[in-house]
Amino acid sequence: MTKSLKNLWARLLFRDRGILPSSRLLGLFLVFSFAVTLVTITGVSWMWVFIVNGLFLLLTFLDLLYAPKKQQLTFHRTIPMELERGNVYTVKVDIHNLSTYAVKFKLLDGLPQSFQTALPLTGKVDRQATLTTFYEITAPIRGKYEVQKLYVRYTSLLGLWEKQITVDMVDEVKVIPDLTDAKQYLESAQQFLMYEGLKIRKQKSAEGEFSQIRNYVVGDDPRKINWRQTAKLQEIMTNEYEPEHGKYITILIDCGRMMGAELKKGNLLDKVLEAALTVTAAALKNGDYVAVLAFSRDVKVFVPPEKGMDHMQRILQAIYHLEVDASESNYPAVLNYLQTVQKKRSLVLLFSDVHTFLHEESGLLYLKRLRRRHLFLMIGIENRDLLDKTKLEPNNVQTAMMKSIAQQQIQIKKREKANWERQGLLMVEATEERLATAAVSHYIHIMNQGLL
Amino acid sequence: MQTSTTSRKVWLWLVVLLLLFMVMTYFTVSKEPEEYPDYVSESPSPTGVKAMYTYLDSENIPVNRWSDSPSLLTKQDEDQVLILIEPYFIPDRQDMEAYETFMEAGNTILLLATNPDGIFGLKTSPVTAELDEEEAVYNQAGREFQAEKNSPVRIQINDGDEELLYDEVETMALKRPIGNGELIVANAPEWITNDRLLSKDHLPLISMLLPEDLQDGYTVLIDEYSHVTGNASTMNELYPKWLLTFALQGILFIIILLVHQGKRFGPIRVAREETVRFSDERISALSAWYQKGKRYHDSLNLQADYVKLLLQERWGIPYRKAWVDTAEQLERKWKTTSQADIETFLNGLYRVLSNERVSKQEYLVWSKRIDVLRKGVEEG
Repeated sequence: MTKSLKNLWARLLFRDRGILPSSRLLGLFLVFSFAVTLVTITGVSWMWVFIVNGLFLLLTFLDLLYAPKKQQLTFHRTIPMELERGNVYTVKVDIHNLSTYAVKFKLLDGLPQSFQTALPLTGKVDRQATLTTFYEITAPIRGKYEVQKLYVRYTSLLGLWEKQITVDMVDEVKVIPDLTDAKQYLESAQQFLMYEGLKIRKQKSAEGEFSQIRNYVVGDDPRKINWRQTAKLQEIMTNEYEPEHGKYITILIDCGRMMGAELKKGNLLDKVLEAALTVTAAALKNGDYVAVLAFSRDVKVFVPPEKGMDHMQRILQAIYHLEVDASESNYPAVLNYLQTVQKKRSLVLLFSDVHTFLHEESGLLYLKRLRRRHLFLMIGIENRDLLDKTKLEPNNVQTAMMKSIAQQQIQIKKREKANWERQGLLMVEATEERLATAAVSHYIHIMNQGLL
Repeated sequence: MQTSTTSRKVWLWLVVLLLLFMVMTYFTVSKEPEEYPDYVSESPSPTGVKAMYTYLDSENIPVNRWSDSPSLLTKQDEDQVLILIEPYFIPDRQDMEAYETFMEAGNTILLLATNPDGIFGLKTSPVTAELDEEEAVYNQAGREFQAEKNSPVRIQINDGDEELLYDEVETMALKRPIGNGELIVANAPEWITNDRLLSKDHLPLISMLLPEDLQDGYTVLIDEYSHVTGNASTMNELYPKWLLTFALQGILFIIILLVHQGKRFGPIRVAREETVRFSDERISALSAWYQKGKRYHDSLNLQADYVKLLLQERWGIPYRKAWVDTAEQLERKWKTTSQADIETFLNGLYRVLSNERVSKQEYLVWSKRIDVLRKGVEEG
């Protein structure tokens, strides 16, 4: 008994359905109250006051008759299945009004908490008509989400009492990394790399495999002139070569503690995922095999090498929801694991935090062993904060100390980097905006040199 | 096994303690005396007036409690004495008129109130003089009685009133004829309470206030109506009707407003904590460590080392060279600073770096000087 009463009470106040007074009714009631108060100065009985109040409420309840019934309104939501992190998308909501009354509505969507949007939507649907409304969403955090109920409040045109209903519509939404860079690369590789100042050079002469025959232009190697075709077409034609296809690329993504460091937009891991996907796109377009391995303390995801653009989707689905772990990354374990799964010679691209990596003592030992079979390149994001700290004005002891420690870290990094490079292990740092570009241009560079 | 026996013991003790507690509370609570309001004729408590009631009863004087509205009091001369003791509220006009009709018919009212101001048109004046410890009260004949005097007011006497009791200040009790009856007023209700009735000369004083021929056909009524809260002026009379209506409408408005505001619309949002990791946690920890250990010398060394590497990268001054030996090359490159200044800078730097003990002031000064060179290298 008490339980059902409690339920009723909870439903009245907090659950999804119900009837509630509108602000218009509140205003009307205020006016009504003043009128009643004025009349009582002339002296009327209490009975009259109660009856008038009751009548007023009864009359306003008549308004409910002019609002559509719950079953007479249908809703449909269209939301993109995949949202790229930080991009703006439009959600469409169709409202169909079957009743003979026009209706004013206010609408809220059960979006996940991290989504940014400008709800509630308001509007009016004519009788027996369909209205399509839109709102925009931005999702700043990657992952898999469910968009649940649609919350609606509607009134008749008079609008004294509001009816509240919820519509159960579950849509699954994936928030994936921002693929702008990858798309840009696929559209026009040259354009993408332009600000890096690097041309996608063709190979050194007489290297790589034959690609096509084209017109000779000034600057081409005269040794590559295809004399047979030249004779046939009465025009100087030349053979063109391009780097070999079908090389193996392994992308290692660090998800350890330090990858959670906040950048201007998103954290290190977000940027790294975007860069990794751009390199993947570049490599797959080139016809290379790409494997992806994400790790922190253990291996989190491993996608075996495969070629073809279809593989891009597989990689994306495997890594889109990766999160930063609270633990330090275990480089030796990962490099060990890599040697067992990647037997073919490949380019190993490690995306990680350079400082953490350099402080790992056993790393060098494992990398030396790895180098025998694979080509290693580490890419990190330049720590702008640290660089700024080395230029602090030493006005008090605290800032002077901070500055000296920042300088010490830079020194250590420089020395270690020199040491590693002496061992033939490449290490690159790029700013957060240029990370994807830097990664792709290094990849192309290595491919063009035919180092693999 | 052991744990089960110990837990059983604990349970046993708990039950015993609980029972003990229950028994104790039963006794303590049941012995607590019943609470009565003050000056109620049924109350045996020290503040009640049951003693007077039973005394009159035992003296074979017909005595009754009167709890009905005064409008039901008799309107004929029936030799009734109504004792009103410290009414909770000043009776409203209707009740007052009823009491007056009762008196005019030839009956008597004995009013005992600490401050009877406003009742039956009585006026009082506050006692301005310092009341000494004296407890003397005098009657018309000038006879002295001992009594408690707690009232801060004295009754003003009118023409035609008969002063019954007075003290050194003014009148304490008077008799006023109203119609065929009379009103007797005294400002000391404490004389009639159970605990004080027999102390001092209270009983003689009270019997003096009552009609002398009480035993000859008088009926005594002890008024309880004035002690019932129903007698209180209701809200209805205190405030104008329009204000009450206004309040009622306000309450209704607030109820509607609460429903309007209180109903949840949209999904439940859980407050969450966003965590942000900054990339400088390592260096801030290290710098705090250096600062606590006062490792100024080490810190200066680090800064000098950094600038030296910069010198090698930017100006091509070999890193391995000692600071003092770089003077010549520095003079050529560092154009914003004079030769003599560079000389003193390098000598000072050498001294500071070789000295293990660096004070805080020295540390700051040299940090700034090294920073000047760093700027020179990076910007020049």
